[in-house]
Amino acid sequence: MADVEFELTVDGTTSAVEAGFSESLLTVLRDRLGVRGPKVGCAHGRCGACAVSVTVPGEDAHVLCACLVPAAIVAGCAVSTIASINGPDGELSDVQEAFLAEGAVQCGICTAGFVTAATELLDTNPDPTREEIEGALYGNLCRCTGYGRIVAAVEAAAAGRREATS
Amino acid sequence: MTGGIGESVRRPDGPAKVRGEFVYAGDLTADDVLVGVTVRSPHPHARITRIDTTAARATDGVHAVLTADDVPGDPWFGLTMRDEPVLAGDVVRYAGEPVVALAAVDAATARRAARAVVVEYEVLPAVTDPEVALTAPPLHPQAHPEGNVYRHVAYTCGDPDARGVVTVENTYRIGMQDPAFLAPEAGMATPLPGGGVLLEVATQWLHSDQQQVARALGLPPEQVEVRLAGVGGAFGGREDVTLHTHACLLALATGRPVRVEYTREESFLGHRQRHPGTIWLRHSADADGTIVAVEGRVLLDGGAYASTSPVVITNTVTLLQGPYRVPNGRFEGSSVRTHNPSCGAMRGFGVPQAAFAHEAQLDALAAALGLDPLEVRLRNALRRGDVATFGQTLDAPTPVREVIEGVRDLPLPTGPAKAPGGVGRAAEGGTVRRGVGYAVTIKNLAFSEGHTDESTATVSLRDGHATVHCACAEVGQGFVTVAEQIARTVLGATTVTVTQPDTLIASAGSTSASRQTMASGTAVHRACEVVRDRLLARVARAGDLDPATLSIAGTTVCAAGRPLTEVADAAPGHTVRATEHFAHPDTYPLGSTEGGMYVGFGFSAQRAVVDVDVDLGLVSVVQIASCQDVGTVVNPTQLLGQIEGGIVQGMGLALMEEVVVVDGLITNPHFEGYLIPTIVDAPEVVSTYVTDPEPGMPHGWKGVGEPPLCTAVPAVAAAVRAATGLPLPAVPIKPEHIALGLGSTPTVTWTTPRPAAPSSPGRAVVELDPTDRTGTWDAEGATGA
Amino acid sequence: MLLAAPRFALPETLGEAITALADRPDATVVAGGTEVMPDLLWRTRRAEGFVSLRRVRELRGVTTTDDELVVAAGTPVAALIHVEHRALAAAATSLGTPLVRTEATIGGNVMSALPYRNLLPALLAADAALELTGPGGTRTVPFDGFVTAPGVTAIGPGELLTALRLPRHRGFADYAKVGRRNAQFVATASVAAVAAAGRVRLAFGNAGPTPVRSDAVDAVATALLDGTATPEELRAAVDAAVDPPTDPVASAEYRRHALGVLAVRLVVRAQVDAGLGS
Ligand SMILES: Cc1cc2nc3c(=O)[nH]c(=O)nc-3n(C[C@H](O)[C@H](O)[C@H](O)COP(=O)(O)OP(=O)(O)OC[C@H]3O[C@@H](n4cnc5c(N)ncnc54)[C@H](O)[C@@H]3O)c2cc1C
Ligand code: FES
Ligand code: FES
Repeated sequence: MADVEFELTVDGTTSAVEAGFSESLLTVLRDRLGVRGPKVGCAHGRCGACAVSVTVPGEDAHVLCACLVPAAIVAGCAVSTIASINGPDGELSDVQEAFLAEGAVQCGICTAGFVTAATELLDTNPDPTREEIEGALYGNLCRCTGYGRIVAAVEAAAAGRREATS
Repeated sequence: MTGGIGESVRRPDGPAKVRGEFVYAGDLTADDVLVGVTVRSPHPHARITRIDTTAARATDGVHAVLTADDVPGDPWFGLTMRDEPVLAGDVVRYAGEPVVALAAVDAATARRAARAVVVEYEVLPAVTDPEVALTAPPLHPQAHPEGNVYRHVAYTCGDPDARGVVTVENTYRIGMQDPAFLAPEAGMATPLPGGGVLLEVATQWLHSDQQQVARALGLPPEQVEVRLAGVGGAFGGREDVTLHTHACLLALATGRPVRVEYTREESFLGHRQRHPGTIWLRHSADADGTIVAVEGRVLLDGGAYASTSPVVITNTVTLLQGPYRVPNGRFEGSSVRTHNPSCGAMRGFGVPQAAFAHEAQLDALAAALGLDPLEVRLRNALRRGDVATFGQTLDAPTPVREVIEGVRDLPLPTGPAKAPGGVGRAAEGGTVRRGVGYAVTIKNLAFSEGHTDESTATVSLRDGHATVHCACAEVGQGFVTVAEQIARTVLGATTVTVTQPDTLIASAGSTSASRQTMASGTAVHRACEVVRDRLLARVARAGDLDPATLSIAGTTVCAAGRPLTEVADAAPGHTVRATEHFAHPDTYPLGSTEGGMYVGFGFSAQRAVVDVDVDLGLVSVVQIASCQDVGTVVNPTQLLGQIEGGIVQGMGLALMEEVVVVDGLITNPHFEGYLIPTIVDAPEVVSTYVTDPEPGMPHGWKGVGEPPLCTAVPAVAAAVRAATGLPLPAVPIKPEHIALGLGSTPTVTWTTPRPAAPSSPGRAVVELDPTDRTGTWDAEGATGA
Repeated sequence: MLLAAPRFALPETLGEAITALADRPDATVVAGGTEVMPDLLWRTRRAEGFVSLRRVRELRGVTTTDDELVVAAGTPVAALIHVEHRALAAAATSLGTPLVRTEATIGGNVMSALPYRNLLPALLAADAALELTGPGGTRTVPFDGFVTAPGVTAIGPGELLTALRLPRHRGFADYAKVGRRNAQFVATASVAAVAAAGRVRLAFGNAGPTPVRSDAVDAVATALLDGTATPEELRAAVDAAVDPPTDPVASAEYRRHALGVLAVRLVVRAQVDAGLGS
């Protein structure tokens, strides 16, 4: 039932997409393009497991819920998923490393979303307070960890960045 | 030694998870895969008068449409009682019950076809009040002609009519909590040559799934291979069969792989919730707070199908005594069938309900007597060697006093507190009151009452690389890490692979009841020991040494304590393998004189600090300090993760989480209406431990997953009571309970002391006449809001 | 035009948008989609096609004139967090989640027309006006009265909400809402307040089928600000003006209570702001 055809650049690769007019970006990524880093926790914007970063021409990149955005609306845009988050040499990024070291990952279904949102936070605010960390991450739900280790991981990654720049 | 037991070893599956590359059940796909969907009943109780699948079948891209008539094997399934239809054929008994399963080329086509299925119903009256269901004619006469009680438990100990100077009683209510694991149910079934099927599914218990699915398919179990797919949380909610059989039926009917993935809404309908319940409790005590007698009655709403309702009720009833010495008591309770959503396992398994009630009672008792709540708890704390009301002698460490003292002296929070109401900015300019509350709980660990609790592991070692194979489901708890740590510690392995669990090895039981480190961890440990001994024997033979002088330290084989060779070089190219089984000592039914009901117990104490905006009824949990009896610390980081995660789920039940069921229909089957705590709600957690090794367990480890949740529910409630002065006999506590002061106060009665009758049967457990009920909800207790 | 199909249009100018809508009279207008997409998932809304406003540049951005704050309807909520009008900013700050606010728009919030949506009481208290543009041109209507029933507004066929005009206001204004957790919640009840020239204007969310305000309440609120009325009097006035629902989340009784409490608190904050209170 394709209503629309358009191009989408996902993690640097441009693909032609056919989709229904109301199909979400999340469905297109996962089911049509086989990009399965963004997860489905609710499909209604509450859990953040589907968080990806999108750059609309003329705007800055920003993180959003892929389940809430009709894919055709971001036609021609660049989407970057967890697969684009890497350290300089393809190793884990500092945020990913901190999530592992601090025990912020249990079942891990929320992790890609948290890493995506936390990375955006630290890229814009390298020295966040605890309140700022919570303020940036309350669109992501985690049922396993109780969040303590997640806050610790973001704080650890921030400390690492401070050290690197001082 | 690096990476062994006691260290904060990182999860082996962690790198794939932080990269988004870990494959969850919902990520599974295959060439030619079809998508399966389920058509569900919109009514809590109805007769199916017609099912017309013609239009669905005629939809382009639809490959199979199945109804009850297409179930080749046993049409009934269930964990304890085979009372649930694989697909409802004649009657539906809850809203959301599967009626038709179909498969199509993609999700959109499948959903369109599902809407084209015509099911006509004759709507029947639904019994949604468990109190009514108790005495109503059988709701499911085919499976359960005797009535609607899944199980009635009743016993006394000592002289239940003994009295101290005061009795305190109230009625408590606990709402229905959803496990709300973050990855909805998913799985994929693939037909195998020879008529069998492979099911890859996110589950807690592979072998139980295998048995139940095989039976429904009319296949021998070995024709159904179950393999664990990546699990996004479980918390009990994946213990029952949901989409499993439907996916397999569709795969066999179409000859193609079929994947099924529930939506969040369907997940609420499809899995089991925590039992909502009503608990009446009466405590009698002496002036110094010593408990003289406890009487309790429990009613749990089990919903439409049995699941584990007959087992959960026993936990709730027997653990009403809490972690306290109770010489005299009378306990009774039922789990009952209704037309509400089915309830079953959820982390804590009947104990959070009991804990919420008994801890409220302890505080009420302390208040009535003018005593310090902790003092009353310490005075009554169970000790090793005590006999529980249900007749079991506590012959392992019972550090109740120690966990209470451990939490009492932890520092109170100092940092700025989060405002109640959070980002809504409602509290500013209002009155915020701080409250501090305590709770202490007992949680049984592992399966009970004679249910087999066992596991099997195969370990092989070659050139220092260990491979562990066990059917224990990794659901996020970190068994994979623990298994790796064991292999490093016992075998000196340099690298470890924990293979994906499947049914090619014997059962490991369920990942539930805080049992997998104990059961599967011990099986892995035993297998590692045998592999080690075989390796050392080989080294001894080769070097003509006495095997008794050989040992492994770190990754090195030592002879008489001196390094001999690296484990990796000890037997080049040779694989040493062993399969070992572990089973806990037998347990026995309640009332048995042969032995105890439970394998063991874990104890936990918490102190909650909350800020409450009293006028608006908004609560912010500032800090929870915890001291838990953990046997030994296997992995500090993972342990803290279990404590923090459990605490936040417990505070969720205390303050916000409730599946609201109105006339049998869930009104909030989504994350807009069903609220789980966010990062802004999560308190600071301070966690300490009592490490008194559990006898019979390697390194003295014991289960840790459930106690934090069980304790957090009453601790948070106690703190809110302390802040508000309100009785708050129901959870979740709603803002209006506080702001409007709803909920009745415990009844305090001053009594003439009456010692236990000398003829009373000591501490023996006696089954009461099943019809003999203790207490009534409304006359003797308070009604919740 | 960037992308067009019988059931979809992604116009880049307002003119194109109006035409696209005229060409597809059955299509649903989508801005951020954060309202429309869950509705479609839950089948509480049907759509025969989308006309997306996401790429219409004229519909994004905040401008100020001497006496007005003009917010284009497609401005994302995230961009409102720092606007000069503090009631709007506060209501935006607690809307949804950081991941929702980047796409959710002010226009979508208004057009949802649901009494519990965040921005509605803020706009009502701010005495906002709406700019509606259709094939026949642009008209401006007061926000007060625009929402006629839950989910229903006085917008005309083929019209788009193009801008919101708020009288400029640098003084005290605020918004507060209550729910059952500390973040990411639908307002059980909410109140917005704007204090200008010694007068208080209050508006209430989830206090009835549409956003609620009343002159009688504002008179008592203003008196409370002056110290000539008591908090109890304001609560009584609020109680008389609101008609909140009972649902599984909360009883009408609680909502009445909370609306009164919040109203008093916001006036007290206005007092503090004016240096009048404690
Ligand atoms: C997880 C989540 C949390 C949320 N939390 C909150 C919250 O806390 N508070 C709150 O108030 N809301 C909340 N919402 C609802 C929603 O995000 C807001 O109402 C948002 O502002 C809607 O904007 P939108 O651009 O996404 O609307 P859309 O979904 O694009 O549109 C909504 C409606 O408005 C119409 N429409 C949009 N723009 C125009 C226009 N310019 N002219 C004419 N019609 C138009 C559409 O046709 C549609 O009927 C939440 C939603 C989600 C998914
Ligand atoms: S799946 Fe998108 S927010 Fe939950
Ligand atoms: S780790 Fe399981 S949901 Fe976050």
